[in-house]
Amino acid sequence: MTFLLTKTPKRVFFCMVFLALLGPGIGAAETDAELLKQADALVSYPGTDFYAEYTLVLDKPGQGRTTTVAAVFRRDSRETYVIIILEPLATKGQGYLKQRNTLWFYDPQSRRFNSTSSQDRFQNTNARNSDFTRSNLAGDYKIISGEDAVLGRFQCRLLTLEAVHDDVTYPRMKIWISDDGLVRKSEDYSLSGQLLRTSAIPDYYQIGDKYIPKRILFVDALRGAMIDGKFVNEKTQITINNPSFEGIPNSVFSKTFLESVNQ
Amino acid sequence: MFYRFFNLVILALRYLYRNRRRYLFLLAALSFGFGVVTVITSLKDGMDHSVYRAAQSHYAGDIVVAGYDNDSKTQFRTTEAELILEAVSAARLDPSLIVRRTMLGGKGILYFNGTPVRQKYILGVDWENEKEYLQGLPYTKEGFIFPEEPGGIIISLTSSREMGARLGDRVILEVETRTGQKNTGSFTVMGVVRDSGIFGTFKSYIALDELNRLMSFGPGDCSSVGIFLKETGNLEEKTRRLQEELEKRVPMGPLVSDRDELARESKEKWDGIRHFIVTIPVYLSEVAELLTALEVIAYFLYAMMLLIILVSVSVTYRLILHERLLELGTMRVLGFFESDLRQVLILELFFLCVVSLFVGFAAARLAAWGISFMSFSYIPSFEIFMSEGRLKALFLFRTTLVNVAAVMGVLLPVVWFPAFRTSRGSLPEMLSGGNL
Repeated sequence: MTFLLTKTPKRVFFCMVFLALLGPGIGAAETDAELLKQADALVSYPGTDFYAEYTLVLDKPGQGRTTTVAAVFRRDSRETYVIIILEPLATKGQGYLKQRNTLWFYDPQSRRFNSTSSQDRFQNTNARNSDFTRSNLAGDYKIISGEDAVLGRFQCRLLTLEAVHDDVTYPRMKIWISDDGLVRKSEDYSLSGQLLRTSAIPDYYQIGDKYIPKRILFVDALRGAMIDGKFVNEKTQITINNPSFEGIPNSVFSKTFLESVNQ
Repeated sequence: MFYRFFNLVILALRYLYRNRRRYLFLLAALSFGFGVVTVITSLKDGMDHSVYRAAQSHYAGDIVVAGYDNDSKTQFRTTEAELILEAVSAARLDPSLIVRRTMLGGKGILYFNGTPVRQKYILGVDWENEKEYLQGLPYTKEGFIFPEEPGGIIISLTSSREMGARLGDRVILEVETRTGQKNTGSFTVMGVVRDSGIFGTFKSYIALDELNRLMSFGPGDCSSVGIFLKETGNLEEKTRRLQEELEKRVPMGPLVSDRDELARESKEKWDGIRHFIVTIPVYLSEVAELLTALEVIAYFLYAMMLLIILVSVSVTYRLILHERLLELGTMRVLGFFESDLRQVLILELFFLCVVSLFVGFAAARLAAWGISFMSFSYIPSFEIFMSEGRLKALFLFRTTLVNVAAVMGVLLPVVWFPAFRTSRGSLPEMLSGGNL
């Protein structure tokens, strides 16, 4: 620094300008990364178990609506979850068990477990099996860019993300994080940049320092139908009821539990 | 001697014509029997052929070298296509065509106007190399535009109907990359194929390079190298030779003899890519039981039909001979030798048989043509035996020859013994119209 001050005052000036320009950028990148981590942390529950009843209403344009009700048991500390279908009658008793990287699907009619992919559609809705696991955006994606954006009544930070490994369903994403650190909207893109799905989370429950989405709306960008000459997207709305952070017995996170539910 | 035999032939033909009313039922019975036998065997041959052809065109070759990528979620990938081609050349297989294909099974979805149709197979093909094959596909009457530029897709009629997409429409293809991520591409429909067989109902073709790009394969990568042979005989020996050459060049799995063995071997864990040689009989071993059951049913019906021919000819012929006893006795009185009489009787039936075979064969072709318009969709999994949605009969020369020999073989003893007995009968008995 002495060298700069004494020998070349011009250099000092340029360095100061450079730092002035770069400074806010570095700061923003750090803030965005922290924001992303915070968004993950607010909807992850590593210290407790989580239970809620999910009602999924699939709206297929021109074909009406179908409702699926599922009980979701989550234990983020072990990256596991169990989902049991409660309605409709035709699929009642079907279940999912996630154990680390393996996702099992149980069919009570055949009484068999088959491994399935977390990238597959959940019960033919616009939700993916991976949507029920804890959020790990900061670990799965790197931030390409960030900018301020307004989303309805929310002042948001819009982040463009790119996957850092191949284990995620969507290689590219855009997410809108509101001032309170909660994800309000996301757009999922294919590797070639085609919009595949838009998700919106307008409301959250707050229980202590934890947040749980009240409603999630998934809009499929590719599925839908032409109604009166206009393209209407297929949608799925998830409503989450009766959330609880009470302890869940270990036996729930097992294949035996899924089998016993149907007996 | 020849002149005598020639006269006997003429005489037999004249007698056959004069007794045509008597022989009419026998002609009908023989024609019907041979017709049914021919229909059974030609349908069986047609089904075998349809299954083999469907598998051969789907897997692209009589011998296929497939790369099993243990790190990839899509499984089929090889980065050693050039070395495989080198091995094929060294194995002296005398191929008529070698094709490289990339295949995505069950993970591709086509979208048009929001309607998704999951594809059982997305095939990446080299348009130029497989031009002849692609042009020969059974397209709808709208035809097929050969894709001069990238971005073309050939879809099945079922997919086209479900999506409502037609020739020239833009569809979106969603696939999974080799590591399981979503990727999409936009394609123009260049052809709609009328293929409702086991492999073709939900199958689409796009350019090899484009599927490679969508699936994050390298530019020279593919799922398999298929070898069409000029001569498919001695397949095991050719496969063994190719295996030896491949083992010198690329990581290989063992030779497998059926689909179960292939499934067992491919479930083993290894690093990177291992290659397996799969022949069409190996691919078809899954339907081997079905084919065997089909053969058992066909041969049972075949035997039953021969039995019916045997009984009906035997009874009818004896009746005809009984009716003609007086006439035959008179011939003997006029100086016919027993052997000449016997030969006339046998020749009569021989010519009747020849006429019956022609009539039966013509009737069989007509019946097979009629059957090809029938729907068998109510029989589960029956579409594997069909070609372009139809049950097609195949009239092989060898099979027809066997059928003719079988009918003649049944007929000869049935005719010979009554003819022999009649020609040697006592004259008073014959002239009085007595029993045979």
